Amino acid sequence: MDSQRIRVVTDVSSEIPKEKLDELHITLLPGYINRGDDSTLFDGFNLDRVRYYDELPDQNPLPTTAAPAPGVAQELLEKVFEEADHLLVITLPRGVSAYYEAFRLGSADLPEGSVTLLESGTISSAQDMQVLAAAETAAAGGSLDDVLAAVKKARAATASATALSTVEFLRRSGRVNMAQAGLATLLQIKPILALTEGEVVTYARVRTFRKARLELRRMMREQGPYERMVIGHSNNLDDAGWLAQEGADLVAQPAEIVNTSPIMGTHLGPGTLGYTGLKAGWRD
Amino acid sequence: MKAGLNTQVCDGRQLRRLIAAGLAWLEQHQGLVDSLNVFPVPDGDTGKNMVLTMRSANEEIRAAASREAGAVGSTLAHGALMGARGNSGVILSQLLAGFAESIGDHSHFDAARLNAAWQAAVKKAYQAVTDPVEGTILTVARDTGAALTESVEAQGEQDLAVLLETMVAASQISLLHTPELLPVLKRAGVVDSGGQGLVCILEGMLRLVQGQPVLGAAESASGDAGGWQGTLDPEDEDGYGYDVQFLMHGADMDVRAIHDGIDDLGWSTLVVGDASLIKVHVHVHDPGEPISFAIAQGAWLNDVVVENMQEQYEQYVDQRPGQAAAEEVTEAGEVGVIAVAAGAGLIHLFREELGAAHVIEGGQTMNPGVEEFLAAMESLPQKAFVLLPNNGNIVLAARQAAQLAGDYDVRVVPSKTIPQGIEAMLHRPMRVEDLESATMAMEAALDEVISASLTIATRDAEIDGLQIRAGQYLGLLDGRPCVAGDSLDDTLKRVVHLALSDEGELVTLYFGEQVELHQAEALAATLARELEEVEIELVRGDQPLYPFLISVE
Repeated sequence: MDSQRIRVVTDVSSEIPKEKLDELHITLLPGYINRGDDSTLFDGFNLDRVRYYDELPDQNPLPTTAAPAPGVAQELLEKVFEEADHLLVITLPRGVSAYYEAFRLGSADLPEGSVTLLESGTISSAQDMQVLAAAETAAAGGSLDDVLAAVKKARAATASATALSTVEFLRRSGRVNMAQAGLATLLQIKPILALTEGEVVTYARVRTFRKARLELRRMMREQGPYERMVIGHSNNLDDAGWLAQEGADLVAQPAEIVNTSPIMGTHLGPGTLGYTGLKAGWRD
Repeated sequence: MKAGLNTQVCDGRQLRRLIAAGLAWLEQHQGLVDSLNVFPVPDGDTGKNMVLTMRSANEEIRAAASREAGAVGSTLAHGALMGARGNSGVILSQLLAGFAESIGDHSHFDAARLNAAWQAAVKKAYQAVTDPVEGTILTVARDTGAALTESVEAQGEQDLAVLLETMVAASQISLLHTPELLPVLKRAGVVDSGGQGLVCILEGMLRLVQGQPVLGAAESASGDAGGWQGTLDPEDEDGYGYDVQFLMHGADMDVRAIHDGIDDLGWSTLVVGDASLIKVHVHVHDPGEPISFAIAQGAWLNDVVVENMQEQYEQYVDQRPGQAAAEEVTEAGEVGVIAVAAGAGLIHLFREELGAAHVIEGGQTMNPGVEEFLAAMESLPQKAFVLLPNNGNIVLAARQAAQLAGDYDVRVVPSKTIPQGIEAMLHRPMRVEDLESATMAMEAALDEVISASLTIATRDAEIDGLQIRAGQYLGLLDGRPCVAGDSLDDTLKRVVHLALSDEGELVTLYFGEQVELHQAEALAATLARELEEVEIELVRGDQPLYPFLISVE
């Protein structure tokens, strides 16, 4: 049987390590990070994240992130397509970002039907669960239907939440309707949030980060066990180590700890802590 | 004609200069465009993204030496396509791409070709967006195109400088109408940011053509955040006046003469059409004048629309962002929380910030009764409620109200203090499905916080061995008197220390109506210095009787 060569492309909110990207032939579309007059095309690796989050609170105006031009997406997709018969693009929901539009316009000149463009409904490591499911299914020789089915299952079986140490950055970023998310208050609030099906969902609002940590642990344990787990943070390695430890018995392989992509972290600020788990038995 | 631009045709060199002027003018208004950005994502970067997109385009054409309009256009389009940022940048790049494709490899363009290219640009931009939304840069581009077509095809206008003037006027008018098409703009009291960006680019081009400066111009809003009002500022010291629009029907009408006659009466003039049908749009102080003028030309009128722009402007200003930000729609399908509180600050906190559907004014000395809870429920659209009494003496009334509430699904979360009520609010249910689980979370939250308060003793007493004299400050912990003293500062400190258990990390002080802000700030600062490990948060409560309500968690 002829097997189609399927390649997976996603955006730089991804937390997938370099080696894994290479191994599974996953390509990241870079995006802009604008600080002051500087505009950097961030490729996922060309930025010191520890320093970035250290400097973030002092930046005025706050850095912004922007999807790249359709031309950049076009060049990238055409290059990847040289080695593939079909491209599967999994990217951020349209409601929060223009990556989807960049991909859509950028794929206009590729042969009809050669690109499948999916909105993941989520971001960062939660989106990665769909990306990895796709790439692994493709690498194992799966058809496009198999790959899409795997993405759908991974999407349904992903649990994710992030606690913020302050709502200030989210408010300043303007990407979330603070009133709708229940965050428009003068009171100090540490919300636990997720981007789910394209919407920002507020799971909990507590008033101290200690309570937020405990609530995250409760949620993480309630939703486990997991096949794969990622603990994401923004310059909050101590808490990330603690949460990974607290979830160690829920997952076969140790959780990956990542200092989160600035594509997401810019809007959440430093000090965040979150978990993303792909539930055990997700393929069933 | 200034700046050496041929007015019948435009070649590559002229196009290059126009683009540079458009960019320069846009750069000076970047802050303004950023500050208008509320749609689709209110992240305040539309201006920045449009500038970066235009810069990328401008750099490419500066590097290329061609004098052909077609070659410059395609280089321009390529630069924009490779440098586009964000939604507005992408749409701008598509406008430029559509324009360039239409110009093809022609060395220059005239009025007819400009019109065709603009229509192609609009078409391409609309196609580029999955779900085109009106009231955005797309609408402004399309309306500009419609005016251009009328001017070229119906009026036979060939002068590019005049056409550019028409385009600028049409774009400005279209921009002013964007809030009517896109409710989110109207709510925020702004015009569309991307549309404003496009207007700036066209204005910059016109300034070049008219020999006005595009750099460091005095009236530029240059990066003033909040300067959005500039777009709406009256062009006349008497204010906005009226927006008048009508159609003139007649025979052998002189479009040019009518344009000039109308323009003498007001501003933002747009007169387009032909000898038998003319569309008039003008802003004036007296709407009767242009109408009388038109009738005096022997025309008959229809589609007469007069809008009071002063009123519209005042509505915009009233609804500025910030004032509208806390707006939250409560629907019948949601759960309404009815809380009891006293003091403007606390009422605001519960209702506007924490999302209570209704706050019944009351508390220690003013206990609301069963009827007040029932009346509140009946006045609200929701069918499910959580009642938060926030005082031990009101819990019973709330429970009775729940029993008598008949068709409503009502739960009582027996909060005995304001801090407990606030903690519970953080776990409030949004939807009816969540009522059960959220009520449990709200109840659990009551134990998450330690409540203390500071009041003034009304009589001498001895309670639990504590001697209290009338007029002294009295600190209460979980409702029990624990300290008394003559000094506000000292008594507050002592009660905070007592309330802080080992795990306490956040102290919130809600200051009452008897306390001035500066006094409260000074006290909070002193406490913060003494309690290094603890965060102190100060919130205006305006509650009566209690100089301070205190929560520790």
